Amino acid sequence: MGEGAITADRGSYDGDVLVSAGEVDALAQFWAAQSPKLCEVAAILAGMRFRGGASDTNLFKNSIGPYAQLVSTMDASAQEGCAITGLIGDTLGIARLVYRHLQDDALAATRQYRQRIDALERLP
Amino acid sequence: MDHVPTLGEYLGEIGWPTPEQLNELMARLSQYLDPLRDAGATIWEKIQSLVQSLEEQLNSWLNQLKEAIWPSFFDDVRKMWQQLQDIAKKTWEIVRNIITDISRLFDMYHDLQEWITVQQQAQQWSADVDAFHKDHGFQYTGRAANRRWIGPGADSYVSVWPDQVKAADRLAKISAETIANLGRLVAVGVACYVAWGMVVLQLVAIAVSDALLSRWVGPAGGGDMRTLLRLFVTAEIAMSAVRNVDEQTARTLTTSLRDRRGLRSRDRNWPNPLADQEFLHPVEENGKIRMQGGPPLRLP
Repeated sequence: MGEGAITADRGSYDGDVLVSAGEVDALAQFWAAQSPKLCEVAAILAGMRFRGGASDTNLFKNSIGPYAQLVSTMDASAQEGCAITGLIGDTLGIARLVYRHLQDDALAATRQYRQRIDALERLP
Repeated sequence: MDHVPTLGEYLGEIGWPTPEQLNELMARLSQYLDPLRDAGATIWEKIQSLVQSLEEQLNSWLNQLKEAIWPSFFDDVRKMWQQLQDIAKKTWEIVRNIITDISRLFDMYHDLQEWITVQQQAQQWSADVDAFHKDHGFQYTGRAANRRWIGPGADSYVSVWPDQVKAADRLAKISAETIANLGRLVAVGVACYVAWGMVVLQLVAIAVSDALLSRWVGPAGGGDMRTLLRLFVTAEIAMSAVRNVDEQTARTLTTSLRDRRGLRSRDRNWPNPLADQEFLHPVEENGKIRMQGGPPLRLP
């Protein structure tokens, strides 16, 4: 059993058993690495060109509207995915600091985490 | 013209084109239309002026021929000329109207390549996340787990990561559908432009022929017209194929857009475990951070 600092103490929880902080380290690092990949996808989607007013086109006037909407939705999806997976990594990062009793660092990381949560709320 | 592709050849290309076929189609389109893209409307102005000069030249010749050639032959020539004039006018109208779509076609082709990248990246992302968690024993919940982090917080985490994989799978699936949709649209679009391009080239060939008068009154004139008519019909069919595929694509894109599998009702675009109180979140109390998660506390 680990140091037991990660606790889920609502309800009838006894608290989590953490055999190794390395496990949470690995998860935090993993999500931190996955997030930019979705940001990259969002950037690709934002750069799609076949968009614009349907009145500008004669041949493709029916498909251009739904296509533009699809690209916008998928772009928003990837942007949110980027932010959310980054925040999952942040959550695990804070858990790691709590586990290691690095309370000052955990406090600083929590403030940053809240700022990012606010930024997520502001995504279009 | 060396080889006039038949409609069957076009239709064979617009079914489910592979990336190689699309590349070949785009190369063919460039062969016909790159000068247009580079020169803007100038080349079309030249063609229009050629068609106009052809009209003037033939009218003047026809007036001269009226007196010299017997009436039945003159009627045949006049019919051919009328057909040519009608086709030239209609072609000019259509080509002028669809000219704005040339850049759209290249934009579509660019997007198609980008969607292939998006699909590959989404698939890779999904596979990586899935493999990592299974490698670390996170596919099991509760006491069945053999991972090195167990308990309610870990269980909460275990219930979250598969939703992330599902969302990436959804992105890959929609990318694949969009690739197919854009692929068909690009293919019929290219076929349409090539078909109209060949009509224009045939008109130009007739217009700039040095031996125009001799060709016109001889069998070659009829041959030119037959080729032109065939190309014109092909182009009309290619254009109606674009319209059909365009309408079909609009419907399937809308269906893709409504496909919310992989998401929950309250998530707009991507599953967000942070919006759930059950998921781990830091709580600050007396200047200290602790992690909290799980179902809401049931007060007596």
